Amino acid sequence: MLSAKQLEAERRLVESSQRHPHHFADLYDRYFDRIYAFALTRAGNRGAAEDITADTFRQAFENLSRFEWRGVPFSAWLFRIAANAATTYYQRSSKEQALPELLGESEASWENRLIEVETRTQLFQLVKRLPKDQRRVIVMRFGEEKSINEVAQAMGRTEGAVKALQHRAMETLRTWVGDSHD
Amino acid sequence: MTDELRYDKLSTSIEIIVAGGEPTATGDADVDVLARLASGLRGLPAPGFKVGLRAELLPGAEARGLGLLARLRAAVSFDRETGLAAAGGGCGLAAGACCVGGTVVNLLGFASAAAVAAFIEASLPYFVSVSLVMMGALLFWVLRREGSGRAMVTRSAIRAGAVVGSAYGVVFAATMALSMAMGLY
Repeated sequence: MLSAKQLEAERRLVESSQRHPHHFADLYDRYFDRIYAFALTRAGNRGAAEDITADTFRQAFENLSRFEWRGVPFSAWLFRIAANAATTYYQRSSKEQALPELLGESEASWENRLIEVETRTQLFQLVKRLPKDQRRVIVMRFGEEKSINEVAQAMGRTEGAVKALQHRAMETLRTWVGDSHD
Repeated sequence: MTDELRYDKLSTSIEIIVAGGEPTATGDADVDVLARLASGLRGLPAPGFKVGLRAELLPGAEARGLGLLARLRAAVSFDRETGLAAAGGGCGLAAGACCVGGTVVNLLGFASAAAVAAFIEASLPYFVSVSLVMMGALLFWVLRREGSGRAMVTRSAIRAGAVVGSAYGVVFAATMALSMAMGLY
């Protein structure tokens, strides 16, 4: 939940982006992880998540001039675009296949979904804070889906050293996240 | 269980996660906790995707200098610890600014050693006080920006405090040593 001060800063950023479209980069950087995590949680696979995220930001960028500030976070508008983009994605990719659990979804499951989005967003952001070598291993393993052998070759290390770095990185993330996953 | 065996088990679980499956229990509770956490990283954004989409959305940004700024920011970006150490060192330098400044002024012949020594003695408590406030504000800002959960904030605070405090101590001690070596304090 944003404080009144943060909301005010966000309003200024949105208005600045409406006047100078290149300032949209700041909004993009601020919300990329959250929208991608939402798309991934909604779609369940990387390819679909990338398509939905790209559609969301394209639409947001194109329609930013029509956005009216009503005191709610900008992310609420983005999430609405992302939810529509997810529906459109599934309608486009398969006429028969409905977006999983889109209809009749209860409030509780939406709440669980939002918790999952926030958890993923937090993890994605924590990865950026890892020490350089640990971060490289995690990004290559999960972001580029490389095998241990491929990571070892890319980093010029032994497979054992990469496995140790990977373990250390996960331990670091666990420490940062706290006991919520225990 | 040896460390190597743990690393292997976690690596196998991660292979399963990345392939889209759910890892099974390994018989080691610690590894299982890490594997559960790792399942939240499945689908981590590919580094090129974010950059590529940004370039597609804002092709003019490069020309307007945003790309240059971003590149500059990336070039001077530090690990968290390095950044904290630099900030702590900066605060230490602020604390010893009267020592360094006094030494330089004395070396340039603008003031006598006695005058500089008197200035350092009188002003040092103020410089130290200001630098401590700066350090406190820095730590408060870092933790507020990063904090999410009490456990994380506490661990982060201890670590950040140790890094900032050590850098502060080393730089401040160096400035004091400088003025002492010059016979100004």
